[in-house]
Amino acid sequence: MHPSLERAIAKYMPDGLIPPEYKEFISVIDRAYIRSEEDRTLIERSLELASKELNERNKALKQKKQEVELEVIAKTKELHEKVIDLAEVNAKTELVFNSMGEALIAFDPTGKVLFFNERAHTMFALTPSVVGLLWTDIFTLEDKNSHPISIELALMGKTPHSENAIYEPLVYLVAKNGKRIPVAITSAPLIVGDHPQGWVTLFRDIKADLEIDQAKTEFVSLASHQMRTPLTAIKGYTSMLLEGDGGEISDKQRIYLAAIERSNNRMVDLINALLNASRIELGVFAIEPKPINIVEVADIAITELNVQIVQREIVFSKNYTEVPNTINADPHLTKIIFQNLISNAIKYTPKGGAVSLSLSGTPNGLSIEVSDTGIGIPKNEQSKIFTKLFRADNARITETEGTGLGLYIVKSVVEESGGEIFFESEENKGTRFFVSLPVSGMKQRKGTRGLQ
Amino acid sequence: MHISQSQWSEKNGWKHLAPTDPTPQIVLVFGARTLLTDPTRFAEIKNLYPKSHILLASTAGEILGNKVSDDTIAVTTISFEKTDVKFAQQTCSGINESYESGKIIAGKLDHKGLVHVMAFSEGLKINGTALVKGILEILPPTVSVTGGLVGDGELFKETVVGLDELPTSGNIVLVGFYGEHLRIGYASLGGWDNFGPDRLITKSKGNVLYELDGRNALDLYKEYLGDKAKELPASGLFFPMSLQVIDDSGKEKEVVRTLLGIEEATNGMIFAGDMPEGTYAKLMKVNFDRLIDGATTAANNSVEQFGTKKPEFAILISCIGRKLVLGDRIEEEIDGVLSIIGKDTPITGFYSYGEISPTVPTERQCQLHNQTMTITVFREE
Repeated sequence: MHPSLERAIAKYMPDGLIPPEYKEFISVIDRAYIRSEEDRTLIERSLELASKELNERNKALKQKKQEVELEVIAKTKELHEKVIDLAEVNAKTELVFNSMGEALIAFDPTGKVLFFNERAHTMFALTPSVVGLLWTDIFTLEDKNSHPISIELALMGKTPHSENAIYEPLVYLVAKNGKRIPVAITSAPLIVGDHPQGWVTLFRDIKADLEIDQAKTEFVSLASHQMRTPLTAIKGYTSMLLEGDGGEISDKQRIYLAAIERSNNRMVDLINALLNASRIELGVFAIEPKPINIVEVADIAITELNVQIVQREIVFSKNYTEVPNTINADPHLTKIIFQNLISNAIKYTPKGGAVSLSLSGTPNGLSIEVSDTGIGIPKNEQSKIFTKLFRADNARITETEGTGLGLYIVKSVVEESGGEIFFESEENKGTRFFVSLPVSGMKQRKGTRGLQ
Repeated sequence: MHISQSQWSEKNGWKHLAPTDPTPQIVLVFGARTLLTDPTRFAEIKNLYPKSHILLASTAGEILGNKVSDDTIAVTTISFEKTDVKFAQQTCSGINESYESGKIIAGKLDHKGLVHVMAFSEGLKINGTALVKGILEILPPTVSVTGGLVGDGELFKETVVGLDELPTSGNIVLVGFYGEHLRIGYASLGGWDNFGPDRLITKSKGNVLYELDGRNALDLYKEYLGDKAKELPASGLFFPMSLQVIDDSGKEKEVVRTLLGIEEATNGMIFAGDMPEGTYAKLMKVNFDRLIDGATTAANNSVEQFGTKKPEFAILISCIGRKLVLGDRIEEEIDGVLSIIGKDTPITGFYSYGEISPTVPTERQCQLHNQTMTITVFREE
C-alpha cells in the first residue's frame, strides 16, 4: 500500500482498520496513488534526461561554432594572401604588355576586341570603349595602292613560322582617325584546351624599315647604274681587240679575250637585272605601250636564245593561234617577259628536252604559255618562286648561274601592266607558265626610268 | 438504423442490453483473443444470428456503451433501412505483403455505390502504413475509410480477425457501406506532445527501428523508462515517437508511431507504421488533460458534418497507448465522447494497435494513426 494512503487510513479510519466491504474500494484508491506517483516519476525523469541531452547538444554546437569560426578566419587570411599575389602578378603582366614596342590586340573568335595594350592605343588611337567592337570597326587594311586587303586573311593564323606562309604584300593599316601606317602583322590563335578562342595579333610599325629598304634599293640602283659605265668600257675594248682593232692577236690571246668578254657579259646581265629589280621596287619604271606585232617580239627573243637552244639540244616548238596582229604593249617590257620565261625553260630542261611557246588570242586579250619538260619546281618551294633573289634548291644544283631575279621582274612587269601570271609544275616532269595580258593592252605609266 | 448489443463475461455469461434483432446486416464481435478463438463462444453467436455476417476482432480492450472492459466479448448488431453492406476478406502472409494485400482486398470489394469502408486488420504482422496505402490506391477517391489494427491486450503476441468463421491471425476484413442515404462522420485526435531533442533515424527497416543518431534505440527507451523498462513492450506506450515525414505532395507533416513490440533477435523496436531512415523523430509524452479533451474534440469534429442532427451510432477505435496511460480513468474519454454525441447513442469499439482515419473531417484520404481516439459516426437519412 502506498505510504500516503496508509497514513490516511491510520489517521481517518476507526482504529486504523479498513472495513471489509471497502477493501476493494481502498485497493482502487491505492492503485490510483501508486499510479499517480509512477506517472510523476516518469515525467520528472523524462524532463531531467531530455534537459541533459539538450544541454550536451548545446555545448557541442557551441564548440562546433567556435571551430567553424576559426576555420573561416584562417581561410579568409589564405584568400587574402592569394588575392595580393594575384594582384602582383597582374600588375607585372600589365606592365609588360604596356611597355611592349609592338601594338597588341586580342580578338575573340568572332572578331570582337578583348583587350589591347598601350602601344595599340597610341598607334591606332584606340579608346577603352573599343573593347567589344569588331575589328572591322577599328581599322582597315590596304595595299600600297590603297586597294583593300581582307582583314580575315591578314590576321588569321599567319605567323612567320607558318609553313604555308605566303609572301605578304606590303600592308598598310588605316586607323579610324585616318592615320595610315605600314605594318608587319603577326597573328596567332589563342588556344584553350583544344579550341581556338580567338586571336592575338601584333602590329609592328615598319615605316622606318621601309625607309631603310628604300635607301638600300636606291643605293643598289645607283651603284648598278654607275657600274655600267666601266663595264661598257671593258666590253667595248674587248670587242675591238677581238676584231683586231688593236692589232693582230694570237690564238691564245683570242681565247683569253673571249673568256673576258663572256664574264663581262654576265656581269652586265647581272647589273641590268639588279637595276631592273631596284627600279621595279622603287616603282619608277615606265610603261610605254604602242601598237606592236607581238609575234615579231617573241621571235626576236627566241632567236637571241638560239645558241643555248642548240647547245642543249632542246626541241623548241611554237604554237600561235588567232594572235591579234597588233597589240598595245611596251615592246621592251614584253621582250623581257619572253626572254625571262623562255631562258628559264631552256636553262632548267635537261639535254634533249622540249620547250614550247604558245600564243593565243582570248576574248580578254592575249594568253602566253611557256612550257618545258624540265626539273620542275618542288611543291614546298612553289609559293616563294616569285620572290626576289629566290632560287629553288633543285635549280641551284642544276645551274649554278642565275640571279633569282628573273621571275620577280616578270611578275612585277605583268602585274603592273594589268595582267596575270601563274604556273603549274611538277618536280622532274616539267613546268608551265601562263601569262595573260589584258585586251586593252598595257596601260601606260609614267616613270623616270626604263627597264634594261 | 437498428442497433442491439450484448456482452459475455466469464463471471456473468451472456447479458443482452437490448432486444436482439435476429437478422441484422452486420454482427460486430470485439473481445479478448483467447475468448474469440474459443469455438464454444463462436457457436453461441452463430446460433443467435444464423443468417448474418459475423465480423470478429481481437482487442486490447472492448468498448460497449460507456464501459471499457477486458477479457469480455462485446457484440453489436446493426441493421440499416436504406443502406447495403458488403464484405471482403484477405490474408496477408507477411509484413512485406502489406501493400499488395491492401490492393487485393480493396479490389475484392464492389466499388459501385460504395460510400464508406471500415477496415479491421491484423495488428502485429503487418505494416499498417503500407496496408492503408494499398487500399487507398484501389478504392475510388470519393470513398472514405476508417478502421483499425486489432489488438491483443497488453500481450502483443497474436491478434486475430475473422469473417463468419473462427478468427485467425494475418487476416484483414473490409466492410463496405453502400447507398445514398447513409451519412458518415469521422475524426481522430491525439493528446501527446513532442519533447526533447530531434533524433535522426539512422538505422531501420520498414516499421522496425534499430538506431537513433547511431545509438541503439532500445537503450534510449530503457533509459527513459527507468524501472518501467522491465514492462516493455507495453511500457513503451508511454513514449510514442513523432516523425517528420514528407508526404506524396512533398510537404512535411507529423505522424505518430506506437511501439508494438521488440524484435528479439536484433533488439529492434517494432512500431505500428513505417520508420524511414533519414527521418527526424522526437519522443512524445502524454498531456493528460489533452488526452481526454482530444476524445471530446474528436467527437465534436465527427458530428460537425451532421450539423444539428445527432448520430444514430458510433464506433470508437482508440489506441492501447491511451488505455495504458489513462489507466483507471480510461472511461473518462468514453464519457467525453458520449457527452457530445448523446448519452443514449449506442456505441461500440475497441482498443487497437493502430487507427485508420482521415486527418481532417473534410479529407477523405486516410492514414494510419497511432495514439489517437478515432471515431466513426453513422446516420441514415
